[in-house]
Amino acid sequence: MNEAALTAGLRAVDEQVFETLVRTYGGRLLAVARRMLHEEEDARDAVQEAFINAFRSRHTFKGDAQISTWLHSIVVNVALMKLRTRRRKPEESIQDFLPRFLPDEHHAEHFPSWTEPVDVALSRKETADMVRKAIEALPETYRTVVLLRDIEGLSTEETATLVDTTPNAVKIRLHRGRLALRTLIAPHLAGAHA
Amino acid sequence: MTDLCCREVSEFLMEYFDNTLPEDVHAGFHGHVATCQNCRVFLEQYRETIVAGQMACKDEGAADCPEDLVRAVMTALGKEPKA
Repeated sequence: MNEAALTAGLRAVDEQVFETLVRTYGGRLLAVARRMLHEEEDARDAVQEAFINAFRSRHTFKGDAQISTWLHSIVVNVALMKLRTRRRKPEESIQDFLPRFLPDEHHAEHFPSWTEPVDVALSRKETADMVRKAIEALPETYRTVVLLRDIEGLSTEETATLVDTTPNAVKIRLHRGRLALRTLIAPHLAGAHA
Repeated sequence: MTDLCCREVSEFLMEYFDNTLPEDVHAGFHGHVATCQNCRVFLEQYRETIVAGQMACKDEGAADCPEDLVRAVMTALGKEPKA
């Protein structure tokens, strides 16, 4: 079923079409929710809630964006709401994962080159799993911004609105999150693979 | 502008890749990176880290929606008023 037919069916409250929507986009939305929430049950709840929200607000979908983009923004919103309502643990500091510098402002460590191009390394499932685990290990404030900006492809301004902060704070969190992610994955990519 | 130091290069990496470095800082950035092998490696790894994250996550959504989740959504929607 093409995008136009899905849009028409969505507006006409055609259950068959809505089921097609769930089947077509549910897997992708579940992946987004899993990345943000980790807990499988929470991720499934988020997808279900997202589709219900989409159904309720179907008249607001103007068709000027793709349905996938519209659904994506809904599930991201639902996942962020769930993150906010979770009991907050004191957040781990990101400081230990940031580069360290000597008093003369040089790097305190030597960075060995990675042994192969990243696209080659990432073609192996175990390396992709390692990178996903490293993203999960980032403190939540930074992980959320890295996910929204680098993985989900939102703009700085969109991300700032969603996480209720300023664009400048998003930039700082993104940069630190990337630096920390590099620290976490580097030991696995610098010679670990024979 | 004089060349930047390693710390400053590290702080400006995102702006460098976003092409938003002011012109004078850009020159100082390049001046340092041209002579500092450690920062060249670090710069490349910063870029590759972004690519690694994107590649690690890109196939996750290829899976079909689990059947029980499809049923759960449709059951929940069946309780919604249609109009």
